[in-house]
Amino acid sequence: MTRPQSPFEAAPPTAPDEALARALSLAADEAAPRASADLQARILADFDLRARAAAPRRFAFKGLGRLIPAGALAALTAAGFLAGVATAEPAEEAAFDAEAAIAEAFAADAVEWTEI
Amino acid sequence: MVDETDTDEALVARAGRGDRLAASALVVRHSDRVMAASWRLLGDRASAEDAAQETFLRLWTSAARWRPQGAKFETWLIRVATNVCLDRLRRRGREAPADAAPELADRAPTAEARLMAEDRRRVVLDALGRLPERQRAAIELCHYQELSQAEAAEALSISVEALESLLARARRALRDALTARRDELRDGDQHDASAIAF
Repeated sequence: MTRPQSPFEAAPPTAPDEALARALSLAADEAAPRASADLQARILADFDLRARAAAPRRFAFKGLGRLIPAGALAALTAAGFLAGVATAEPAEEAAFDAEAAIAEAFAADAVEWTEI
Repeated sequence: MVDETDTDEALVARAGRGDRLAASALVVRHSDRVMAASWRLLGDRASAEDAAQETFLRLWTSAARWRPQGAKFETWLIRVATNVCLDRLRRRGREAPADAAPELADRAPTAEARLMAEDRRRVVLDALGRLPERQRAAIELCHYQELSQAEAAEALSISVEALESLLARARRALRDALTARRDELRDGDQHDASAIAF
């Protein structure tokens, strides 16, 4: 086998790119460091952090779901109050007002039991 | 559960929904290539690891809304890695003298460094590392990552004509640099003399 006197004189002058590609191949992927297990762990830790950062938003909606029964109860109470106001008879209101007036008078010591 | 037949695009969509197994599969599939590309662009392992980590962080950030848009996922990821590295090189350029050469030739010896081709590899990497950053990126994308010229041009935000010009200048500079160091290359001549020939 004949070897060229100089590697720089061996390549056909018309194929510099091919020669360059072969030269670069010497420094190709086998020379490059691979991603270490530590690096992969750090990359996945970043993923976990982002996943956790996104998670509270979902939990917030879950918490909102837990409030639904309490909200429903409050709504029913309000509806009951409004229904009571709407259906109250004038006589009942008068009796309520009288009782309230008597209670206020007692509270202010304005009347004695004997006056009732 | 991740199947080997799952496409990258499907895994990205699952990762975007918080699927850790899908994210892990993407890391296993692509981290070596991202690491290699970053290392060749930045010249040292520590910087390359940081860049690879940042590249995947950008993936996690955009996974939920990532759409193929015509490009393969792997091409997109290498494009992100290239941009991360170019940003770092620009920052480094602002902090260091403009003509400071990257550290490709000064990296600590690896297992491969003890192999007989190490000296020659070092010379080639050194020459590569001394190229201006955009010429190096053009070589990285077109030669190592085997992107088409259109894809590489898009990654570098330049026209195909500008990329061709970059490549031509990079190849000329490499040829000149390697020719100037022919004596060092000849030392390893007994192993494979025809490997580097211009």
